[in-house]
Amino acid sequence: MRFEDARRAGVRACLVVIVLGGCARTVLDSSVVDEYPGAEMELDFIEHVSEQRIISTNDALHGLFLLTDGNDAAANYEERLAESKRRGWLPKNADPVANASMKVGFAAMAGCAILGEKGGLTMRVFGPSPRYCTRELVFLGILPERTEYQSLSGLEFIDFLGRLEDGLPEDGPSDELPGPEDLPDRDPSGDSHTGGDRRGGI
Amino acid sequence: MILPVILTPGATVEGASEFIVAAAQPVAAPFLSRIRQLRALVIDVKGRSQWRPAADQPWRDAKVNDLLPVGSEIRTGFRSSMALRVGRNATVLVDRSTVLSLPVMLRDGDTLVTRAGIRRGKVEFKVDDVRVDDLRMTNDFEVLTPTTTLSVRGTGFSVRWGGLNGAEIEALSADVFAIEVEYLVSQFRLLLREGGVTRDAQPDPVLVALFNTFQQPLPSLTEAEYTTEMSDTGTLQALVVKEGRRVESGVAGTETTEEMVNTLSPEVQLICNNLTEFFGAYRDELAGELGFNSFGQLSAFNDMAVDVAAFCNNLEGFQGDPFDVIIAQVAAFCQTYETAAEIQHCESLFHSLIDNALGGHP
Repeated sequence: MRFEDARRAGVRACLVVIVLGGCARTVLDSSVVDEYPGAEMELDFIEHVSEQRIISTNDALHGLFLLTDGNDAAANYEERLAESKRRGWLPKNADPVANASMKVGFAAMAGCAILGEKGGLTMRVFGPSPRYCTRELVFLGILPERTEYQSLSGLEFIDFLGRLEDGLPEDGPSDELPGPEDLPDRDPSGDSHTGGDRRGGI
Repeated sequence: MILPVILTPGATVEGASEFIVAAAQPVAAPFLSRIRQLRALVIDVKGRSQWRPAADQPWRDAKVNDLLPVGSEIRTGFRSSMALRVGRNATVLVDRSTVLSLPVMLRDGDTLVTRAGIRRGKVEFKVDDVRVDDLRMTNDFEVLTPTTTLSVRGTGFSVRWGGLNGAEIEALSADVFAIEVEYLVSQFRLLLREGGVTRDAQPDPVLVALFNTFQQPLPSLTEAEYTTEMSDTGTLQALVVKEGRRVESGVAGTETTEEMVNTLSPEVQLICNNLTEFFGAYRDELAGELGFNSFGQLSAFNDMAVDVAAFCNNLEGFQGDPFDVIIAQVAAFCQTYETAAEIQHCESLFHSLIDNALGGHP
């Protein structure tokens, strides 16, 4: 009986560790942007980010600013995050940790805003969300089959930015970026809708 | 074919595919006589683009007309690109956020061997069928990515390699052609003349490839024209050389120029009064007899002609024999040829042209 109790306790402990640990996002010790913050360091930033096994939110936002503006005017992560929300790259109530892995959904939402993608019916009615922007970019072939909760490696993120750049007009990002008034308050996960949103119908 | 290269201890292996970073080195004596290493010429730079001659060297900002040796690495940032003429037969457009290496660029007899390694990013390749020294060259052009190896035989395409989908191949865009034309126009304004370098007899494959891209030179480019500023009077804005005759605009205090030239030796008069025709003929002679090995060499010829023209326009008050100065300029250009025989032939062609034009005048 004693062995049986110990076995059950062990299984329970494992389940707790798996559930809690599995749901948490990977947090890196530091971000590459801390070491290469300047626009003139862009090439070194790309080089080092592409070697990261996970792209952090801080690095991802810096990379997005470099792509769209050619420089990153934000002095720190807080400013970067605020400006990203203002541009509609992230949901207004999202509060990701700087060195935590960037969600595919957040990257996709930024991608939709940069490209001016309005999506299908659901996205047009309810506004852009990580979930539906992910699906939209998968549909467009910019992202492979991913879910909004997954992470991207540094190499994947640089590839993602390159694909966004290929979709941009010569003179820069879309002028039709959604403003804050266009964005609905929603759960950061964006998991409030069901059903498909592929172009051509639900 | 088996590449005549060995990996040095500094060679590296990246991912699933080997990027031969070491410089190509001949392994057998018979190869030595027929293998020539080639270089890549930067013909366009946009945004943040850098290159380095070897993996252990520091990065340097790329500029148009930079010459990249074998083993060079190139990297570009967002919204940036760099275009290169690689060896004698290919134009390569290194697109955004890309790392590319050029471990092999050589001519082996009638084969042009090139290896381009894409570590990540997007690169467009345009490989031309060319003739060199009346030989139809065989293209041995391979593109290496961490997951695939592609062979090009005389066509063009775009290769994209990234972390999301691996290797993807697309059709060639028009960007490569546009950049070739842009570079050509920017570099050869002085020398372009109808019926010049576009002739069938023109042996330089690089120029033939470029002119094939956009047919004949534009009529506006068929007249040699350049401007220069003169500082002595402050009122002479420009001096235009047109159809072998100099026409001054905004002249004040330089009216003696024409007369002064006429007091010079026949050789100097011949050259300075017929700049465009003389250097056009010299360029044609060189192209027919020796050929131009690269864009850089033709650009050097262009620079030499411009320097001589500028010298001719500033002869007033010059102490010494102007012909010596001109000969020195030509001799300096001829040093761009590799062998002593070629250098000597380059110089003798110059003197032959003068002798023929002056009817045997020494």
